[in-house]
Amino acid sequence: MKNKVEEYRKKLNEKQEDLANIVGVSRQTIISIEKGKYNPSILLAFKIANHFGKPIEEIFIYEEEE
Amino acid sequence: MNKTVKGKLIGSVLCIAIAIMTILYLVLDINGINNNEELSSYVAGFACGILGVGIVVLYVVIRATRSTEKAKELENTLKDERLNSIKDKAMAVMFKISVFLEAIISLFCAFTNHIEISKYLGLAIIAQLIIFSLVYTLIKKNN
Repeated sequence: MKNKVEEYRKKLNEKQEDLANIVGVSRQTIISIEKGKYNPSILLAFKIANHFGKPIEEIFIYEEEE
Repeated sequence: MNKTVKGKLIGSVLCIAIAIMTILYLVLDINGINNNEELSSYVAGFACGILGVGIVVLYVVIRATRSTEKAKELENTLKDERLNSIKDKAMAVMFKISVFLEAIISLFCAFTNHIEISKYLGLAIIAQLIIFSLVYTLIKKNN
């Protein structure tokens, strides 16, 4: 799964720590999500999308695994 | 103070209290525990271990309660879904390795005529697997 978390976070001029505090996770989790290492739960994905004011599918893009 | 942080605080205080009681037990030589050198060194190691854990956790909690930023950071770390899933995976792997090791040691003891140890280890494996099955069924029912 790809995501545009970093792109939208930078648009809002937010630090990873700020986003982490808003959605209630650690900064390391935000780093892992941005790097694509960790796929967040549906609840966390909704929290992040809600914070950016965008629909979830605009932030998290599903890709078929090969 | 949030519920999880409170739990950590209570846990750390309990650890320290148990460690202090164990150290007192050793120092006052209750039941002549110091006569058995091997046992007293095990008990001393146990006491020092939990005292260390208790102090570290208490320090983290006290540091967190001093500033709202640190408190939020600790709360986020404790509730963090990624860290919790890593913890669950690590526990699952640890359980598998433990049972596997117990089975190997139990077999080894059986072959080297340490039947008593082998029997207890076998019983421990059975107990662990029964608990696992019960917990699995309970969690499956609720999900």
